Formats: sequence, C-alpha cells, structure tokens
Amino acid sequence: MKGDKREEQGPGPETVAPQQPTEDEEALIEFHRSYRELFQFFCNNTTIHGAIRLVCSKHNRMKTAFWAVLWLCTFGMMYWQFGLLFGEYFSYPVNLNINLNSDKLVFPAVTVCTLNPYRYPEITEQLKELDSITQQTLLDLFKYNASTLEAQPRHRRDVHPPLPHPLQRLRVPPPRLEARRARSSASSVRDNSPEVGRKDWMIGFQLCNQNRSDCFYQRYSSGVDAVREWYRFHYINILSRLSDTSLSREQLGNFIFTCRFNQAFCGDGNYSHFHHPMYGNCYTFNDKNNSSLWMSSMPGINNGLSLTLRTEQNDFIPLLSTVTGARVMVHGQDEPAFMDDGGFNLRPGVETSISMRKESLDRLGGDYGDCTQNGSDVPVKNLYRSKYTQQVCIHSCFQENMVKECGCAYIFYPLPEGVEYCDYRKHNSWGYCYYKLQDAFSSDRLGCFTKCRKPCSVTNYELSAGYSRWPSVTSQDWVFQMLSLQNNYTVSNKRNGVAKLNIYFKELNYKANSESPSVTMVTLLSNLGSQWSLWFGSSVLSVVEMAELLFDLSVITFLMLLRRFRSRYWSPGRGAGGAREVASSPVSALPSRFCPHPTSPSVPQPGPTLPPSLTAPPPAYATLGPCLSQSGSACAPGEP
Amino acid sequence: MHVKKYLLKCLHRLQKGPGYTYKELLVWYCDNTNTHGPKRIIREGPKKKAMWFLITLLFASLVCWQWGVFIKTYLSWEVSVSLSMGFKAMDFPAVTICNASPFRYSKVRHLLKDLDELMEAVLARILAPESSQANATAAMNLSMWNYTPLVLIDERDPHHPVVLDLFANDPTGSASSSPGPRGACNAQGCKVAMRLCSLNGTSCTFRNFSSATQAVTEWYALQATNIFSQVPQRELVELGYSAERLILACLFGAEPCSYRNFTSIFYPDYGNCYVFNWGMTEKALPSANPGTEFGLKLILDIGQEDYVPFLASTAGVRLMLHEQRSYPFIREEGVDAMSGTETSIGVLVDKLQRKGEPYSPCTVNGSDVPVQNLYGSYNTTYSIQACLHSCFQTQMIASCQCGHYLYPLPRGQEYCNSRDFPDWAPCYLALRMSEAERETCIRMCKESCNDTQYKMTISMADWPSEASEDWIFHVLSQERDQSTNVTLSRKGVVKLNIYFQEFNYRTIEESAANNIVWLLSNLGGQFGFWMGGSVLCLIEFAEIIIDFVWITIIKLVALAKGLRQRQAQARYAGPPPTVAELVEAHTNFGFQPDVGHRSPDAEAYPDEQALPIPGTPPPNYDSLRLQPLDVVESDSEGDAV
Repeated sequence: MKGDKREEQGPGPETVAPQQPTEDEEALIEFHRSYRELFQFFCNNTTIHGAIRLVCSKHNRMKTAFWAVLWLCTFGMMYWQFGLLFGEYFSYPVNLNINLNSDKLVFPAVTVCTLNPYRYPEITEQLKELDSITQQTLLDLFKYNASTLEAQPRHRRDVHPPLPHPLQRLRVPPPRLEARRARSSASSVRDNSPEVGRKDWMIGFQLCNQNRSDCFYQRYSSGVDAVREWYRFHYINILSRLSDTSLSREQLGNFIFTCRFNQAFCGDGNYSHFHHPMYGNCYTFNDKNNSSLWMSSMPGINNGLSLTLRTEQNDFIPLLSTVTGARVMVHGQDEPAFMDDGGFNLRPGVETSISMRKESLDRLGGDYGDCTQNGSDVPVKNLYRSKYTQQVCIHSCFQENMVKECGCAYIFYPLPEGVEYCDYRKHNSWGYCYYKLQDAFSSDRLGCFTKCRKPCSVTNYELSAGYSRWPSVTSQDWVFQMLSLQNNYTVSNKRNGVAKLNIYFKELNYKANSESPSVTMVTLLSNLGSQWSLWFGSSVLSVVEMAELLFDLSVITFLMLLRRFRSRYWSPGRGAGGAREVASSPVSALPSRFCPHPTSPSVPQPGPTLPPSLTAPPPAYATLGPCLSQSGSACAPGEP
Repeated sequence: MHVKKYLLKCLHRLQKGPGYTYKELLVWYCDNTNTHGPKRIIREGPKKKAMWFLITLLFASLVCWQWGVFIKTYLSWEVSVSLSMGFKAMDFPAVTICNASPFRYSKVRHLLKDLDELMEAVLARILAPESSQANATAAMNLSMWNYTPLVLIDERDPHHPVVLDLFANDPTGSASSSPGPRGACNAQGCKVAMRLCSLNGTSCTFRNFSSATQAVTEWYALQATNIFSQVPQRELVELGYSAERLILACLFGAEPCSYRNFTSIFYPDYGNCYVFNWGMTEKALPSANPGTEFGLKLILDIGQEDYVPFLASTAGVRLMLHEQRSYPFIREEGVDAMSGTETSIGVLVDKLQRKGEPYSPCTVNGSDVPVQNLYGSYNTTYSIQACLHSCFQTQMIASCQCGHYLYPLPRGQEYCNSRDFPDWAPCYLALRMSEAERETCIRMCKESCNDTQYKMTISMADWPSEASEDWIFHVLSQERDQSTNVTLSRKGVVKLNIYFQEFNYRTIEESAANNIVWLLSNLGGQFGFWMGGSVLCLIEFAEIIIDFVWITIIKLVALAKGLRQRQAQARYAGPPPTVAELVEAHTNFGFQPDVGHRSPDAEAYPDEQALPIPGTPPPNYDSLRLQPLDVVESDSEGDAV
C-alpha cells in the first residue's frame, strides 16, 4: 500500500510537470501504460469492495464478467437507494409526537351573546319604515296580516319613498338575464326535475349594477328565508347609518344575572363588551383585557364558569331574530370570537353543561409544512386587532376585496381605514356587487383560501354538551322570586325567561400534538453512509479515491492527446517516435474507452504476453518507464 | 458444432474444479476478502490468530443478531401516523333526513286496523286484568296473532308463577288461572312477556321485559314488520311522508334549493328518507367557508299528529351526515333533532386513512371480503355496516329460510312473515341474541381503508322565537297550503343548520414507519460498523462456498471413482493399473492447461513462475502461506512490469 502510494504520487507531479517539456516521450510512455495499470492499481488498492475481484479473478473470464456485472448492479442499486434517500429527505417528512400533558390550564375566553342585536323599542324609530314595508309585502305575498308586528297606519307607507330591491314572487324558470345564467351555471345547486306547479314560485329580489345594465335575482325557495334575508339586507343598510353611540349600551346585569367562576363571584372587571350586528350584545369573559387570567386547576362542573342568562324574548326584533336563547363561544384569549363559525346555542329554560377538552397542534412550518408563524408573511392585512388565525385572514381578505370591488365595507367585518360601511343610499349597487363577490368567494375565485395559510400553532377546544331542564318545577318558584328581587326581573313566561350555562374542563390533561422532522441532515448522512457501506463497504475517502482516479484518467488522456498532436505535427520526422506511438496506441486507446469492465475479457489476452516479456528481450517501453520514474523496488522483480 | 465445443469446454472446466484445495481456498479467501477481520486470522501468530478468530466470530454473530432484530422490526409492518388539522374548502357531507314515523297513520290505518284493535284490548287487559273485556276481544280474529302471543306472568308467588295469556279467547281460562285478589299488580309482581314458540308450539321460551311499555312496543314492531313485509315496496313509499310535505324550506349557502334536490331512499323502519348532496348523479357541492351562512339550512315539518301511535313514540327528525355515495345507516348512526327548536350542527370531518395490507387489515372496496354485499344495488361504496348487515341477512336466510324485513334481500329470497314462515320470530330473536353469530360477522367484515367520520357539535335554541312565531308560521302555511290560517304548529317544525366549524378537517394518515430503504440502510450500517463489510463481501462469501461445494463434488467423484477402481482391483485381483492409466486419469482433469490458467492468479503466479526454474517438486502449501507479505509487493510490481 505504501509503495503504491509512492508510485502513484511519483508519476503525477514529478513526471508530468518537470519531464514533460524535455522528455515527453518517456512521460507519455509512463502514462500510456497506466491506462490499464491505473485500473489494476486502483482495483487492487482501493477501499471499494469488489474492485479487487475484478483484477485478481482475471484468469477466469467467467468470474471477471460475473464480478463486473455484480459490481455494476450494486452500483446501480446504491444509486437507486441514494435517490430514494434524497427523495425522502427533500419531501421533508415529519414525525408526529403526541403528548398527554396534565397541567394547570388557562381557562379559555368565553363569549356570550344575546342573539338579538337591539331591543325592539330602542330601534323602532329606525326600523319603522322597513317594518311597514315588510308588513305590506307579507300581506301581498302571503296574505298575512301582521297584527303582532307594530301596526302602522296604512297611509304612512305612501309617505315614504319605496325601498329599492322590492321582494317579488318569481316564476321558475324566471326570465333569465345573462348575468343570472352565468351565475346559475357557476352555482351547482340545480333542480333535479323542474316542473310546473304551485311550488315553482320562488321569492327573491332583484339586484342591479350601477347603470342597471346587468341584473339578477337573489332567489329563495322559501318565503321564510327570503323575507329574513331581504330584511337582513335592508337592516345592514340601516345599521350602517347608525352611529355606534346612538344606542345605549346594555348593562351586564340586564343579560347576565349571576356569574361565578371557581365558586367565586365575577363581575365588571372580568369581561369586555362588544356589539355584534346580528348576535347583539356580546360579553367576553376572561379575554386578554381581564385583570388576571382565570386558571383552572381542577376539572369538573364546580370549577368552571357558571352563568345565569336572561333569555326573555318579548323585545326581540321579530323579523330578524327568529331564534331564542343565547349563543356562546369558547375561543383563545387573543382570538376574535366568530360567533357564526364556532358558536353554540343555548335553549331557554334549560341548563346547558358544556365540557371542554383542549387539544393543541404545533406544526414545524418552513420546509416541513405550509403554515405561517404569526401571519406576517401572508399578503393580507389583518383588520382585526388580534392574533393571526386563518379565519381572521379570510375575513380580512374578503373585506379587502369588498372595498376594492364595491367601494365600501361589509358591516359584519371590521372597517379598514378611510372606508365607510355599505349603504345603498351612497353605494346604490353594493348589493349586486356583494352577492357577486360572495359567489366568487365561495368558489374561491378570490384566492382567499390560497392566500391565507394555516397558522403553525392551533389550539382547539372540543366541546360536548348535556342538557337538563332548569329550574326544576319545585325550585322554580324561589329561583324566580330571587331573580325578581335582585335583578328587578319578573319572568312572565316562567321557564323560558332564563337559561343556565356551565362551562368547565372535562379533564385537565390535554393532548399536545407536535411535529419533529423525521429525517434530519444527520440521519440522511448516516443513511447514505450505511448504504454506501452496505453495497461497497466504502466511505467518503473511497469517493475521494474515485475522484482521484477520474483526475488521473483525465490527465493521462490529456497527455496522450498532447503527445499524439506533437508527434503528428511538431516532430513528424522522428520515425522511431511515430512507430512507437502506433504500437502503443491500439493497446492503450481501446481499453481507455471501455475500461474497466467491458474490456476485461480482452485483458487476459495481453496478460499471457507479459510473462514472455520477462524472459525475452524486454521492449523498450516496458522497462524504461518504471526505471526512469522510479528507481528501486519497482524494477526489481523485472530484472532478475 | 460450436455449441458442442463450448459445452465440452464448460464440462472440462467444471471437471477441473476451481483449482484450489480447501486450505488454499480458505487462506486465499481470508487474505483477499474485504471483510475486516479474516485477514488478521491468517497473518499473525497462533495466539493472536485464535483471538482474532474469536473476535471475528463474535462480531459476525453480533451482526447476525442485529440483522435479525432489524428484519423482525421491518416485518412487523409498523406504521407511523401524521395528523393535520385546519380548514379547507371541502365537499359538503351528504345529509340524510328521516321522519321519526315511517308512515302516515291516516294512510296505513287500514293495514293496521286489526292490530291496533288488538293492541287496545291488550292494553286494557294489562291495565285491568281481572275485568277483562271479553266482549272486545272475542269478536276479533286472533288466529293471525297467535304465533307470538303476549303473556302476563304473575310472579307474586315466586314458586308458582302464573302465566296468563293476554290473547286467550275465553275469559274463563284466565279467570281460573288467576283466582284470588288481583288487586294492584306492580311491575315487580307481574311481568309482560313474549312467548316464542317454534316447531308448531312444542318448544316455547319467554322473553321477559321489565316494563310493559317495552314489551308492547317490541311486540307491536314485530307484528307491524309482519304486515309491512307483505306490502310491495312501491306502495310503502306512497304510504310515507313525501318530500314536498316534509321539506318546507331549503337554503344552501346563498343558493336556493328545494325538495327536488333531495334523493329519496326507502327505509323499512323510517319510511321515506331524503338525502341531500348524495353525489350519485351530480357533483358534490363544496362549502368554502365555516359558519351558518355557508351551510345548509332546512325547515322541516314532521307532522306529528299523523304519527303511527304504537310504532313511533319519538317525535322529531332523525338525521345523519355521511360521505357522498355511501349508504346511510340512519338507524345505527343517526342523531335526532327535536321539534320546535333550531338544531345547529357544526361539522368536523375526521378522516382516517389506513395503509392497507400488510400494515393494517382493511379493505379498499370490499371486494376481498367474503360476504356478499346486499347493498350493492344502491350503487354505494363499501362500509363495515353494509357488510355486517349483509352478513346478518345471509345468516338469517341460512337459519330461518327467510330474510328480515329491515335488510335488503338477496336474489330469489323473500321476507319473513308469519303466514309462510311461522317460526321466524323465535328464530330471528335467537339469532339476534347469539353472540357467536355476531362474532363471525365481525371477524369476516373488514374495516374500509378510507374511513370518514363526521364529528358534530350539536346545540339547540328555541325556534321560532315568540316575537317571530306568528309571521313565520303564516308564511310557511301560506306557502305550503295556500291558507291564510296557520296550519303548522310548534310541535311540527324543525329547523336545522348544518355548517362547517372553524376547523373542519382532521386527517390521520398512516405511512410505513420502516421502508425498504430504512432496512437496507440499517443492515449496511451494522455490517459496516462491526465488520466493515458490504453486500459484495456476502457475495464473496457465497463464491467461496460455491467453490467449496465444487471441490467437494469433484473430490467425491474422484473418491467414488477410486472406490470403484479399488473394487475392480479387488475383484479381478489382476495387475495394478499401469502408470499410463494413472497419468491418463490425471490428464483427464486437465492439469496441463490448469498450470497456465492458475499462474496469473494473485498469489500462485509469482511462485509458479519462480519455482519451475529451480525445478523443485510441487510446492508445499505451507510455504505458500507464509509468504503473502512479500507476495503482495512483488505481485503489484510484477503486474506493473
């Protein structure tokens, strides 16, 4: 090994560099012979397994071929496996770790809403006109004479100018306009068998664009839906004209009679209030404004939040609030409450016990998954003053598009700066624009769902509920007595006026799912090394050996070409040099192209010719090379 | 000709052998193998040799042990799971809704007339057994119901329980069997039971109930099954609630929908059910956003006043969310919604994707399950419920010769009824109770690989509110019946909101924990770590083994030949074989070319070359072994020359 190294080093720098200008012939002879020799030397001395067999089994052609094929096969196998390993690494797989932690838990924020935006007497003034027109519509379309709605004198309707977008009864199929057709083809709800009958009337209202060139009908199959949606549409307009301060804010005591957390009283310091245009007055307990966050150190119904709520429904807006009860939602401290998405309804006269279980998921992000850490890299401006969540982003995205397309903001989402809420008195075609936009949004033509990426860490509260009647028949008398004494609230409709809510942790251990990369750089290298070792038993140094071989090959080839070029053009008169060149080239050039494996059958042929060379008068090139380049042991076996 | 020559050559080559002896082969192997360790065995002194031999052996066994562990781990087909959770636009689930009452009482009254009268009489008897209204029952034709009569077991005297047939035609029988004070017979004392008789009433068993309500309901359901199984399904569909009556309003997102968007499906125990968004003929509807505004809103009228009194004691709507193109097993997996309320259902889609064989036992489309899928006619996908039901029906047909009314029929079979199959009821109940039969079904049916479940968060609020009640009922009545009066009531209307939650999917996906790359990497790592070996080393080893076998065979052949020759010698006792013969025997093995061929070999070559010159006798192999250190050097230079 040592001797070989010396020999290997010798020809490289010494013979090539200094001798070439003066004695290029010798140097070339040295290298010419090395094509074969180089391979033999390489095969004998490399640390790559199997290579040695190629050489030492050369007396047996069958074996040589066998080993050559084998060597190629394992080579192929190795690179196939390498491909798989790299493919696996660059797909960035993750491992899921599930931890069941048991710890003191921060109680989540709880938002409770009244399900009725305004007390009817307070807002009657604003809704008077709309209500009277709705009554007229109900009378016209459904022969319903609204006696319970506040009866308005008939003549007042004539005083007001008619509202835009009147509710109409439509025939199916209606006289379709171009836009409507486009819309309905985009929508996928289709009637299975349109037929004519009394059911084929649809209720809807017409929406047109700015210059009334394009109109479509927003249609509903049922009058209840139609009236409610239509009323809601107008209500949005009225609402946008109202300033926030014009209506007095409700007192907590009017909606929440009792509040207890962990058996302790909770009051004004523990909640914050906001007003939702549909769900009414909402009170968020334990949000980030809370003086100190509530902690839950024990599971169970006695260690949670317990509320008694007023669900009196006499002053509901009849055409808007069709549902009685309250709506509650459990969410993270710095997340906004989307009552629509995750809300939970409470029935009046019923005690609802909601048990929670926490579950969190932490993604790795980056290359390992498409998620965002804090939303700063999402091309949507966060309109909510809260943490990034996917819903926050989607709502902001919709509002952004709304402002861009329609020039005004949708009232259910926060207001961007310098924009005002939609009102058909100012933006007379916003309804048309809004419904078009919503259709595009639902079918994701706005790209909101691709723009808004998932947050990397997600906390989820799994809710399950149980119901029981409350108060019981025997206890209701004193309960109502107490309520009327303390809160000045006389329950007229007995049970239906109150509801009770308990929210608590079912168990304090929560599931934390987290991810970790399953293939790291270290594992990849270790696997590569293992594979390399498995197929060839070699290491990084073997790769260097291979590189060296390639380098040597290229150097030899270069020298060969250089020499041939010189012998042909530079010194054509030197016959001896030319003859030697001719003699040497077929032996050297051919194997160099196909070496080592396919030519290995041809290797034994020159092999037997070598032994005679030892006894016969040695050819000039055979003895000259080693002796010139290397004095000593290299020539020793040849000479005796 | 060439082939023959070639084959002959091959034969000669094979006869010649690899050209080594055992020892030579071993030494050669140890010297030339790439596995670390064996080289040391032949290099050093005897003590170190032994030590190296032991160490090599130890490490080889370590490698074998580790390989065993890895291969065992690989063959245990472990899976790792990945979980993802969040929101994405997904296909809205198919929604199946059923009225709790299968039929409208006004339409089926004529079918159930006899049964109802009997029921009333029975109830009267249960309530007041001593004053049995003989005149009421006597008029009825009881023969039809006698197959599984209801009996009253008086257990007030635990040693002499008195069995009282509630259908007994003559009241004297009951009177004689129950003398003394009847008085108040409470539930502990008197039990209502079903008498199940088979084989023409020769072997009877009693099925006990703790409450008369349960007994009567069960018995009525059994008898009603009997009646309805004889009515063709086409007529049964007519008897149930029509979609037009049931579905008052429907809104999906902002799009209107109506009863025509629902696909009708008939259930024997729930009558007409309607599936929204089943995806059978048209594409499934997607929902892009969470919240009620983007979900399905339904207003239903269950028509409670037209319920079949003894058959449907629950009032409300039964609904179920399921995958597109899957059969809704509403009896098993449905939930109920109350009338007079708005039921909000937030949906979380829970998907479990199994890896399949051999990682976890599951089936992709049920084709490899040994149970004929009777729900195939519905053109639905495989589910384990379908398989269990089909399995039960198959068992039922095998043991009772008729199919149960609740499950689909295989070709050429018919439903059970008391007239044609008098023993079916005991047979069915026995089968239903049988633990073993259920076990076989569960064992045969495999879970499907892609399992989708819809987790629902259900909440309720009163609907309509008092303030809006009036106009809502008016509008709905006007729409349905064109009447200016309210034809609906709070007892009948149900409102459903079905929508996606803020997180609408959770996917659990299995993937192979250990793949073949992992296995090979670890095998290679261990082999490389302990012995510096690779696959090629294994092949080297295999080569040596083949050479060993080769030599052995040649030796055996030679031995056999020698034996025969010796026998021949012994038999003939003639002159010994001549030298020429022996030489011939040797030359047959082709020693002549062998020298030439063996000479280029790594070790032998220089020695062979060197030795003939002095003309010494053939080399002693011990001397060969001692030389390799020099040989390696001279070898490389010899080649270089």
